Amino acid sequence: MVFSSLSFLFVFLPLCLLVYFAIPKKLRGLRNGALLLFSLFFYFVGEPKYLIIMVGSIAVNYLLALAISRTKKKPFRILLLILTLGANLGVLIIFKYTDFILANINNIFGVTIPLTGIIMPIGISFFTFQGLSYVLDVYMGKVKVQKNILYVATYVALFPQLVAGPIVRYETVENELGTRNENYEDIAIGLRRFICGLAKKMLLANTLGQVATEIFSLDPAQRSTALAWIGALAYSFQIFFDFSGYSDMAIGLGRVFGFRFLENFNYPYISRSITEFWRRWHISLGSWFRDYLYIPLGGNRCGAVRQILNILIVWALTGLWHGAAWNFVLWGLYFAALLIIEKLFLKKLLDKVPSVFSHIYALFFIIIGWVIFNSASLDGVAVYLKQMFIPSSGIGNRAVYYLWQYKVEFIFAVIFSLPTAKLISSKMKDNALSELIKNIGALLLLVLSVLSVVNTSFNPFIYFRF
Amino acid sequence: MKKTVNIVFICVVMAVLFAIPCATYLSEKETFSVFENRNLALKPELTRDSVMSGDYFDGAETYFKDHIVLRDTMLKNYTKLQIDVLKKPVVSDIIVSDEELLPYVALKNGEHASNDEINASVAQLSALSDTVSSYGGEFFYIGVPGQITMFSELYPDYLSDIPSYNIETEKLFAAALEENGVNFIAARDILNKENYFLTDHHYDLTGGYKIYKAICDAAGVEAVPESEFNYTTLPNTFYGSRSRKIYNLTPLEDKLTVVDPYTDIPFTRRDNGVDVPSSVINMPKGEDEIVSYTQYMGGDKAETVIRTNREELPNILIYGDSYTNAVECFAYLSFNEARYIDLRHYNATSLCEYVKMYQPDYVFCIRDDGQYVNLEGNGRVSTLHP
Repeated sequence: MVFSSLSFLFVFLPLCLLVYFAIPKKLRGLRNGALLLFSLFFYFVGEPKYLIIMVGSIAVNYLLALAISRTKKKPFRILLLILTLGANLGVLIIFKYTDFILANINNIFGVTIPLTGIIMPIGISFFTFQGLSYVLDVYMGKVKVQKNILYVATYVALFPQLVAGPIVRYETVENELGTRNENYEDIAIGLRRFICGLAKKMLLANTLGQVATEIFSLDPAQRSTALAWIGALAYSFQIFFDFSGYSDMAIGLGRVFGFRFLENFNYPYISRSITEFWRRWHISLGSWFRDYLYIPLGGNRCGAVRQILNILIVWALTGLWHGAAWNFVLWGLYFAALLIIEKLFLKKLLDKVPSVFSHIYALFFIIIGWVIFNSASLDGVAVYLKQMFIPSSGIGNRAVYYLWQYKVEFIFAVIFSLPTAKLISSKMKDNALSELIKNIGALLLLVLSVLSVVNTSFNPFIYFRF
Repeated sequence: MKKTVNIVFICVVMAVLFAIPCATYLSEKETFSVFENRNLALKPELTRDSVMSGDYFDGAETYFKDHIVLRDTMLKNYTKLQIDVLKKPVVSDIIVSDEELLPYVALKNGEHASNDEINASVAQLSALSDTVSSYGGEFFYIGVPGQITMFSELYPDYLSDIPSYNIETEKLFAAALEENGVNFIAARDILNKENYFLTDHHYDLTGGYKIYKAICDAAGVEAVPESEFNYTTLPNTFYGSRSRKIYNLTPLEDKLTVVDPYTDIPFTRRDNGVDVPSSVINMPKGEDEIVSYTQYMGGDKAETVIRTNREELPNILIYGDSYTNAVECFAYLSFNEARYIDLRHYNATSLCEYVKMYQPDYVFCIRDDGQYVNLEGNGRVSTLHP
């Protein structure tokens, strides 16, 4: 089920809110139980056959965390840790990477092992990483083991963040699972945030997504240089508003139910370097790889060569996490290369030059990154990039059409890629009038978003495939 | 006060979230969308298989979307917003203008249809032409300029590739037909802008008559002169295929003209093997009824057979998309038996087999220039339509 569907907005959500808030606050376990049941149903609607995989993942991680917490001897703890990694990564490899591995074996060794055609369960990368982080945190002593399986299940399966993140750490919600305090202010803030996310998704991401989809799927001979750039720009906006919109909806819904999820985006397109970009983009994934891979590999505390190797490993895997295809690996390594260059010398230089140059630098490489990310193959990447940089005629007039047809969306996309809303909000006084203005704005966005949901059939969520 | 404002906000949001599904559940369900010209989704069947495959939930979402309360009002306002506020040049794939409502077409690969596409289409038509010739009949392909090419100069420069694609394709297609000995009649030389509706993609009866006349000329039979018809313009509201896509939010307006020959030529009509009243215009019941191009011949039919029982005249078969309907209102007047086939709906046998079975003296295909290389529907002549 997706948030931007009528079934979610007008059936699932009102029913869930009704049941949840009908249960007295003091019956916290019951409220969590209701939330868990609705979350399982939420997943069931999208992936009926794979619900068992998610439930199995929760059960295994619960038991492993329990076992680790009760085991004092290091060899056994290490054994359990290996089991945890094996179980979680095993599921991920089977469902996400089997055909990719087989296809590469076929290519390299000239054999013809038939592909399995396994369909990846929605959100497997998210709930696997979340479950894994819980057990790893228990192993490292960062959090206490949760003895109540319903709480672990609620944490992993919580529907706001279940299928497309943010990747919530157990430590973030550990206390809230037992003692959160839902109140009117949080509900209002949460609803407003949810509506803003929905509007970002429906009014900007989907519309500009149509532009990107049309241009990226064109025969290369038809794509002029201008069109190629418009397509790249449109995709850059689509992926930002799509994913950050989803994160807003997740964070907003979490807030309605009394959870405070950490921010996942912080205006990434205002970055002055790639290093800064990755501190602002998909923060929960970046920090996951940092804490559970980069630092355990040695992080910055080792020699330069080893550091570079660590960065390459982390970013190749970050790319692979996004999809079982070589263009994702290339995308990861592309950013690794940029981060290494910045680490070696460029960052110091960027800090010295006027900010306009560093912004242009960062945006340029971010957009190129999205072209690599969105291309269907390595050949596709090469062709598209060639068209962006070597002037080609194609049907140049259509570039004018896309700009004219989607002028309002492009303008709003630029405005809301900048911290405009944050700035306006900070200028507003903390009083009833400000709340009223925000609420009226949110209601207007809700109406426009619902109109768009009813009208559109183009409603993809990019991060659902990860 | 701040708390009160937030409580009111929460209440309003909750009211919207609860009221819409309740009102949708209680509202009367339409089965057809006039504006979209399609059947609305049926309630999905709840079975174990449909639930486990996810089809039930997908179907439920589609059903909800199709039957949500105030759906037409919502869609109309969304369209209005795009036209009046966002000032989009293209809304619901219609280029909004005050001269003619033209279609927007997404960028196609190439400046015209590929040689492979053209050759595949021409091969089918050539086979049909040979089949018709084999028993002494004659085959003609009438290429109709679609709205896109007829009003090509109304396309803004930045969308000029849309008409140019069809124009270039027609040149190659006509040349390929000629090379293969298939008769091609370019209706571009016969029709003009006045023959077309402003809010619909078809030509009207004046265009239909011109094509009828061209058919008679090709077949060497006498056409009923245009002066021998009584034309009546109906006062009813006309829904054009283009204007309804934008919920008639356009100042452009058409009226439907119907025709009646002064000299009555008696005929019988069978649609899909069933006798139906002897008329070619589906007249509205009253002035309040909304009319559309489908009044001509009662819309697209799989098979219509009209017999005038004048054996001295030849038999004709016309097949093609809905552009045939306005022509069919006249064509039977000059022939003994007129068979009209729409292969998008007819699937009892392939067209080649059908032609062999009835051996009409003349076979005419009428398709617009946007369909020349479309091998589906009326482009599928030698094999059975699935």
